[in-house]
Amino acid sequence: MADIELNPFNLKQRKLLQIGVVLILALFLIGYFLLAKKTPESKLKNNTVYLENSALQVFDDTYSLSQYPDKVLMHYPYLLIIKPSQPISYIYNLQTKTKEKDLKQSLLDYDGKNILHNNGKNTFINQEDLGLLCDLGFIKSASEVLCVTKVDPNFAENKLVSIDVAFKKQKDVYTSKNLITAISVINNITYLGINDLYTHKNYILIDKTQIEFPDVASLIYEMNSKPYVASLKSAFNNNTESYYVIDGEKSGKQNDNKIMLYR
Amino acid sequence: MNLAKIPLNLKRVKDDPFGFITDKLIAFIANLLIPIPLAGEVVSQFKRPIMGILITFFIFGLFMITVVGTIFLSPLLLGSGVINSITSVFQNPFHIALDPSFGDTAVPKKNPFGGSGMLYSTVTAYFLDPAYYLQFGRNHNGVDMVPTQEYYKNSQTYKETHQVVIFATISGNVNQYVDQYGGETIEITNSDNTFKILYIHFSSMLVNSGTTVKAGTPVGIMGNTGFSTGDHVHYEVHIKDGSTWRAVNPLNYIQ
Repeated sequence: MADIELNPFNLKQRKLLQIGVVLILALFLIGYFLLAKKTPESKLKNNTVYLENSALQVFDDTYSLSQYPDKVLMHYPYLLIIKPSQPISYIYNLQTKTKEKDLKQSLLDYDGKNILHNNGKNTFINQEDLGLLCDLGFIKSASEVLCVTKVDPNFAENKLVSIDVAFKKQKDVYTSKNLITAISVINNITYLGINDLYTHKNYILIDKTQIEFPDVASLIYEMNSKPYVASLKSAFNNNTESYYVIDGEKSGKQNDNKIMLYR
Repeated sequence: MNLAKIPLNLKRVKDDPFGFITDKLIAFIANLLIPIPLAGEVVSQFKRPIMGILITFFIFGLFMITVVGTIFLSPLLLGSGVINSITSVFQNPFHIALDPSFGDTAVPKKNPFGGSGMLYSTVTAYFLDPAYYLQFGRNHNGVDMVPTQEYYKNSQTYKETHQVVIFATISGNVNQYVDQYGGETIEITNSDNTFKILYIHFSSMLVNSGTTVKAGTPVGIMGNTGFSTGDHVHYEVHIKDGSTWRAVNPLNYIQ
């Protein structure tokens, strides 16, 4: 190493230099933390949500849904990724494109304020026991929960029950001899996915109107204010993935292999 | 700024870039932090011993972090059961005591992890789950269960064995086999031939076919064998319906 030469500053100049360096450092740190708190959309590499070959891409995050009983649900603008074996639920807000929270519960639904979840033998909204066990559920409002439950707890057939949260009153809305595979309420219309246990044909029940559906209805969701149905890999569709738009009483296939959930 | 020094500095960067950067760094620190010129000179004169001291401090700091980290992390590692799960491989799992709280019953009343009600068990897949039917094209005739945090905190059996032990929920005769998917399976049928309990996915089975067990007998260790994607117990309850067995919701038989 060569000899080091000190600069020719005097004591006053050195102090000024010190103050300057400290000020620049402080300004840099303040600026950095202020900018780091904001996560502008432009920072995301991917601004969409899609499912492809059981891999769910949620903006820049990837989740595997290949292992049963992992699943994805949507209550717009909330996207729920549920891994019951851990148990954990990841909640994303599609409007803000951010992960809202992780909950150590296996959720049935989330509306931004309330959580619907199974605990042991019954279903709960927040800490309130609803007095029955739901296979699927949807928080229609702060006072009403829609619950897909079994007609008889020992048989597969499902029915749809409306539950008054305040009074725990249950009212049968729709009783089927089949399996209800998906539920959603979009633009105040209730959509149910139905699989006939005997013929394995699929239907969508739109309020009280039933339409035939060419694939299994695994997930009914809202995208750009329209209802869509995702068909995930199933023994009844040769393990393919597709999605469809529901337009009135018709369904239109959008794509094979890549299911868009948000764009 | 002395322009005449530029070619000299460039030559140093080329010949000894690390030495050049180190020298400049030390000069900068000396100039910045020591506002007395004499002290700066002293620092530059004794740069090698000072660097030696700094490196000594750095190594000492690393050593202290390792020591303190070990002291604080050891109880956490022991508490988390990581070490136990490693050492348990070498333990004999066959010394697990019968849980008398199950009683000598022919009708299932408790969940297979023990404890009261559903305190010790979380259901990850329910009886006749529509999602299972849709994905695999067949019924899910039981419930999939994993232990809760309460179980890991409070189960006496877990504290003693560090294994998730599955108990017989009824007294009866054992049939042990490996199912078509490779799942280690145990069936227990009561003496009246009215109830049959089925457990799947054991990592090891603790009872043999042809033996008679009392409710509360440890029958296996929870595992991931067969048609399974993670450690859990698949638990089925069957009742006699005429001459055939019919699967019913096991949750109806957990009090």
